[in-house]
Amino acid sequence: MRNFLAIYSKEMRSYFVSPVAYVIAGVFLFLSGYLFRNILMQFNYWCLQFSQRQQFAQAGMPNLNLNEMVVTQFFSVMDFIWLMVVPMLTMRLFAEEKKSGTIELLMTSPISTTQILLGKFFAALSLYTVIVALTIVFCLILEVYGDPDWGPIWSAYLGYLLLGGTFIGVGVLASSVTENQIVAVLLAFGTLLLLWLIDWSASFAGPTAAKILSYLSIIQHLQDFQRGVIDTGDVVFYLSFIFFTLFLTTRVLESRRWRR
Amino acid sequence: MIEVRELSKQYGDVTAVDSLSFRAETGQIMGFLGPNGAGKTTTMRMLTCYLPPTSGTASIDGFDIGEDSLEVRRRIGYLPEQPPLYLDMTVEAYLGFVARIKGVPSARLRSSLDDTMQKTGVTHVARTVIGHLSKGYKQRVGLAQALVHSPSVLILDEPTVGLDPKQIIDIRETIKSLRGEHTIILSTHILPEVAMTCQKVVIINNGRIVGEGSPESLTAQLKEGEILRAQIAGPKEAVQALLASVPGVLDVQHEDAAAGGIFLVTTAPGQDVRDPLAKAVINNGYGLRELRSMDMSLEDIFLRLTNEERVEA
Amino acid sequence: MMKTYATPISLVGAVLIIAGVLALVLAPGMEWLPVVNAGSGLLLVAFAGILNPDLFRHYGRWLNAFWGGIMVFAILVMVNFLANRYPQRLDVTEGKLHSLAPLTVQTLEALEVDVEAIAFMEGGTNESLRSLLEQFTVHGKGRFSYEFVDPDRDPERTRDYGVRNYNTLVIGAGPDTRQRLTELTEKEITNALLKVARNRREVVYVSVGHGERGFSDNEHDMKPLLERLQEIDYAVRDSLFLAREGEVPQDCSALLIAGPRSGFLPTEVDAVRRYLARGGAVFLLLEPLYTTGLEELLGEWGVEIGDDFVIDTSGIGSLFGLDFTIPVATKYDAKHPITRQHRSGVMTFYELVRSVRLDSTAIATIGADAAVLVTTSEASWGETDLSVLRESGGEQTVSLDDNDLQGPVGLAVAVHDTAGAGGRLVVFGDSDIATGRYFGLQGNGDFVLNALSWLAEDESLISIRPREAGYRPIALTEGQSDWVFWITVILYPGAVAVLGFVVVSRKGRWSVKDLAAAGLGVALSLGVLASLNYLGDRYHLRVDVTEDGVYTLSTETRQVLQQAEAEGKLIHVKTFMSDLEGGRYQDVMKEFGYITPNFEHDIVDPQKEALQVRQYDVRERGTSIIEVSGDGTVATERITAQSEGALTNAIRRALVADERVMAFTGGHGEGELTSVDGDGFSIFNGRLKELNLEIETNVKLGKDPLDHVSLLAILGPKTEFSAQAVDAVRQYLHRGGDLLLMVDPATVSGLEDLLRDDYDIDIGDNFIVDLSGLGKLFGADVSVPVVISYADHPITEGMTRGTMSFFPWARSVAATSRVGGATELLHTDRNAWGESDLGVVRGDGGEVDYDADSDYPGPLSLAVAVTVDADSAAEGESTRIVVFGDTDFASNQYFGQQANGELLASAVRWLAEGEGNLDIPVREPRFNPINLVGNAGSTVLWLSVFVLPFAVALSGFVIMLRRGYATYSSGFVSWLVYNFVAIAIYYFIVAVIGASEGSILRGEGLLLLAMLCAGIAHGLFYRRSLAWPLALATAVANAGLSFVVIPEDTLQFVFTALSIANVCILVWIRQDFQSAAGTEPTSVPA
Repeated sequence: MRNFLAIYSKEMRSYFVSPVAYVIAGVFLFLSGYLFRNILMQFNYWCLQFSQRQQFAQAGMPNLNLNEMVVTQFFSVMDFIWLMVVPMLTMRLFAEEKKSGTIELLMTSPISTTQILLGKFFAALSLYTVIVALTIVFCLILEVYGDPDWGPIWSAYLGYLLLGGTFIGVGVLASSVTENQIVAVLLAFGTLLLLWLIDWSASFAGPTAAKILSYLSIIQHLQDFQRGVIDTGDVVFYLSFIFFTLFLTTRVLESRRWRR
Repeated sequence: MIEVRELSKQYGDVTAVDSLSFRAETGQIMGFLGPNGAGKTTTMRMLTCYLPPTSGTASIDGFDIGEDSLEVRRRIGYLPEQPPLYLDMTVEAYLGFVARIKGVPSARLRSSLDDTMQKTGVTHVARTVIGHLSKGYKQRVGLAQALVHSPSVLILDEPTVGLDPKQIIDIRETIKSLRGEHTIILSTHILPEVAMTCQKVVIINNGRIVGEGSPESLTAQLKEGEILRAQIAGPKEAVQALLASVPGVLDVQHEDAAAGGIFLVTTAPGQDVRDPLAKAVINNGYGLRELRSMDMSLEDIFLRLTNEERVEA
Repeated sequence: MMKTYATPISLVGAVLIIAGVLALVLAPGMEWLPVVNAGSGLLLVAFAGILNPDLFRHYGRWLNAFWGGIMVFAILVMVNFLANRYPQRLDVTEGKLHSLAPLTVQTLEALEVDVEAIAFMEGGTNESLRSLLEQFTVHGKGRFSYEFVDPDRDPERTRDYGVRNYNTLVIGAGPDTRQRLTELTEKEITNALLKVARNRREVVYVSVGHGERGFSDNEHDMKPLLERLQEIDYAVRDSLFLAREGEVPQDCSALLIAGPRSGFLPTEVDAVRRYLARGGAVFLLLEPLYTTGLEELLGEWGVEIGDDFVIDTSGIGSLFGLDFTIPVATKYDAKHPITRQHRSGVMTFYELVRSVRLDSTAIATIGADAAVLVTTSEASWGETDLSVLRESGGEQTVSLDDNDLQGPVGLAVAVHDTAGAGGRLVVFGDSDIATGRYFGLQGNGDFVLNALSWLAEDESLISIRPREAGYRPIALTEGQSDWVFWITVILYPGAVAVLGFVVVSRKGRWSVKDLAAAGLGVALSLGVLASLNYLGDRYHLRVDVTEDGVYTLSTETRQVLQQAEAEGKLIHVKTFMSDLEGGRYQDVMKEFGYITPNFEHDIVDPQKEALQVRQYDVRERGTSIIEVSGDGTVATERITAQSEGALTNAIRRALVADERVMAFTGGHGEGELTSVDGDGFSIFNGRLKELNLEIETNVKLGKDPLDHVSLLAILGPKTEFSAQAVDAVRQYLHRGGDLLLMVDPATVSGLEDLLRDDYDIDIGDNFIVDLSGLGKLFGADVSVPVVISYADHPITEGMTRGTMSFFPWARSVAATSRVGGATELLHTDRNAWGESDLGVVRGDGGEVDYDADSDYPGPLSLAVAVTVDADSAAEGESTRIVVFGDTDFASNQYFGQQANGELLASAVRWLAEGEGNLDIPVREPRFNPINLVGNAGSTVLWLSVFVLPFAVALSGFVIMLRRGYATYSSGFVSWLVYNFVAIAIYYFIVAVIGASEGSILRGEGLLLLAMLCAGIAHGLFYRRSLAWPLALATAVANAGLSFVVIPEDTLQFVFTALSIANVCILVWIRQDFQSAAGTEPTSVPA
């Protein structure tokens, strides 16, 4: 356990000391802030319009529910930003170690590969969680100006935690496969994008293939969380996804021993 | 104590290490000599459980590197060719991290940190970012990370490469000061370094041991004859013939230098032909400028053993 | 000493000169301020030259570099100016989009009269219009001329051309034929040209009265065709009721009969025959399944229509997501004027088309020349087994068998009676091609228009309309798309990956044994995960955390579904809408699916699955078909409402479906369910199939037992029922049975007393005369009352305001007491009345006028619905009765007209629904809008977009400083230097602008400040001790100045914040200036 903590704290410190964490957090918050404001203004515009034309029934007007219009919209936009940001977060985890030779230090010290991996994984996850948690400010703004239903917000955040785990799992795997950080980023980004769009081809595939393909899409499972329904099926999907990527990473790290 | 039994390593069809066997006694500094690509690094990586051997085994303080690699790793300090440094951490934080993952109990953490830094002379840069340190200090920090958990076995892979002379001397002093506390394997291809610091030398070439023993015993074993170096002014052939005629001289090599010829005279072992030779040269009216005997330097031994072509000085 | 000052002085001088010159360039009007600046600048430079003569040698290098830059910049500006003043446009697009379309060229060349175009443009000129009109003149060969007029400079001409606003183009060939257009595109100009050059106007008559397609803008009607016809100046008369007119009008240049569904009367067929004989032109579009009565006439003209519908298995349709019932034709008759211009490859679509062939012998006899205009590909055939289309009942398969018509199948023919009076006939096997949904698709529109132009003998118009971007279709059959998938997704990337692996792994030297072990490990873990996931997906718990419980279904729904699961029934719901609509309804159905595995739903896009739409006879988007199948029986229910309640009730009804029987009485002249002609009820019979009721016909009241019947229907009895028949009905009603009664005027059913005494329904002995004139809209006279107001009752709930229903020869049916469950469903208009003198109806004379005493004043009720609690033992069981004062409103002839059919269908559905309808509240997320009033919006902007990211970035910056620079202060000093340089540049720009506007304060003052800031930056860089106090003072001044200098308020915030930050930093690193005055900036230690 001590070894895990050692690796974890070392990674966290190196995250918060180097510009990586701040640049990522800054850019992400700026983007999501901008998007949030626009979504909010759009909704506000609809509300104003609706209140002005209160006197006759406005059938066409979308159902003015704060949660549905703003919260779900905002979260569904955010996950795409993460798709691009997480590979940056995880690319340095192993690739840099290999390039700078420090992998030998880790591999020759009395610490198992799993502990190294878990230490790094949870460090990245904690950074991800801190940045996501910063977006609570937007929900507070909503609380000030309207009264959102906090149930779906918490379930969305849980969904995000699991999604983050999946993204980081894939990122770590990509990082462990190669020394070169660029290759690590591209690998991670490519895999995630494929998993994101996999359900698109479901509409052309046969019935069973369609079911499997749409099941594999990491975004399909997020919709329930964002809508406020926590389904154990989805939780199992994400956890098994994370387990599998970490398991693969340990195999890749172990394989270092067979090769050179 | 390190014991290696028929350790070998194949990469596909290339044999990097071919059934190596040797022993290093506790507290002894063993030199591991060999040209680049001779298999030194591979052997060290196998000893530190970084690479699994294709066959054969080795044991550190009785623990086998295959079965109980965790114990082995707890007992070794390893400084690879490229010091494994996190450039964005400060020296103190880095050594603290290494101590923790090497299993130093948190109670002794602070103390072992301080005296390791003191031993390797990096205390005054403790709070500086490693990235900002010069090559020399980086090497010292690399050494410190190998010592911080005071391991019983220390494996240093070419610790002095790329340093300036002054730094090399410091590092050597530090390594010498460790004699007795740890069993040290020092791999290098700088021969004088081995002669000065190591009590025992193993010479390895193409993955096989070609020579083993203390530096002195090695030279003794291989000394076929004395070599005299004489600088004589005069016609080359005549002088060469004269020298060859002196009794006890086996072979005369000629090297032309600016001021008169340089002649290397090999004589049978144990025979000192300097006086008759000098007399012969003077009687024939040639100018004898210099005459001294050359003992078989390690380099010669090394060259002899690894029968490489002459390395230009 | 003086020498050291020479450089700064010369610098100041240079700045002044530049500021002065720039101010002069910016505002040539200003006189003295820029000149003063430049002058004093020159003086200073000269003075500095005196102080330190070799100053200029030092500057030489700088100067010529400076001048070089200026020269290059000037050249660039010049080149750009020329480039967009004289643009040359090379149109390389294959479709020659930007040059004139062939139609325009053709029209210009066909001009016989001189045409003049006068453009009244604002400011007198418009570049793009000029180049367009230029091209027109080039092709016009002298017939077309244009002129630009500036309305402000030439008001009288503008007035006498009647031009009221700018940018109008007037095209005319003489004073009377003038077209004014404001939309200045090539298409519009060409159209205007067409109108001006032609003098004749074609008139197209459209036949109605047999269920033909109208011109409303729903996608099944022909609105786009109407618009295009009006565009090319055709007059369209869209209500020729041949039955009434008896003759095709003289001025009709083409008669359009689009998709008739009921038969033409013999008189009407003769009218068409006479019209054709005298050289008329008929455009007939048919539909499978319907006989039109014109078959015999067509036979005379050598046209044979197949009683089939064409199946096309070539797979080309799959590109557009269309199935095999929508053939795609690509081969056209190359010689015939209609299809001559159709390039091969342009596709036309025919939804459910029948085959059309030519009988060569008949054609030879009348000496006409005829041609098959378009044929399908070989992989299609005319399917004669029409059962698939008739009954709706799930999916049936279609196969090519011997009595079908082998492909390729002809879909449209054209016959021209050259020997006789020149009559022309075009017959299409499908009418959907002219409807809104398909008209715009690829070649459809052009094909229909060309046919009409040929019929109206107006060949000049026949050509391909100016087309959009070059049309380049690709048609991938199934096989080809799979092949593409394998190449692009699997083989190609796979090959690259393998190559890469081989290259990379050559030096990796994997050992096989370990690889195998790893592979096994991976496979094992995958297996475990897959099963884990399957279980997770199968037995999972769904927790709905939303406050409004939007995703939890009601307990009743759960019970119904569990009951279905218990009975082993499988529920399958097909909803006809695109998967983008009805989001919430689809969520609800997903939740149904989670409760029980027996529930499945799929979304069928009506656009793509035309056959299923036809099979289930779906008329409305959003209809859901619920099929509950189990132990051999399939019960189908149909709902259009999209809510949990409607779905659950439908499932509940389907579960209990098999026990309900609907009996139709016979033997008293009632309407025939099976007869297909005008007054039969076959269409009504088709609709009953949806309500999954067992139908029994010809039930003899009084003789046959009624106890198993749940709904009794009596369709317009002509003769009176016997007393014991009435008794049977009374017992049946008291037992709780439901009744549908339709009675015509001047008939006595014998049930009148029973209904009046027990159920307060008074059937008036009259017939309705309606003077409201509503009927005139579609040629109905006073004997046909029209209803547009409906009561608020489940039956008439779906009737939106304004939909009409009409009842030829109806009588009044009123509810005498409002108490109890009686509601009057339909009311006629106020000035309609119940005429009690039935002479007219019986045909023995008598005239129609309102006499106060005997007639019933309007508005009158024509139908009543009653719900009465039956007195039988079963509690909750109630009797429902619906009485209509007319029968033929629902006969085949009128069933499809307006709302008649819907009214009767929903009445039957209400009667068949029975009791125990669950009402399940609709769960909608509650209405909670937000109101950001006033500057709340901008605070949100500030908070979310600036403050948070800025704070995070700042904390990162501080950490970076700690690591980046040996000490904090050297980091901050460089920050300050950049800051002051930036501020200096900004002030310099504002100063130049100020000087050019002549204000001394902004001009000179800021120039001074700019130079001061530059100096401070220099001083800070070299750690001059003097620089510190000056920097502090300027920073404080900046904080105040920002409100003067910066226009935009948010930027003012930023600038002030920056200045304050600078002040704090300066205070913080004060000691750095005291001690290290004058030393070089310390670099990083060794």
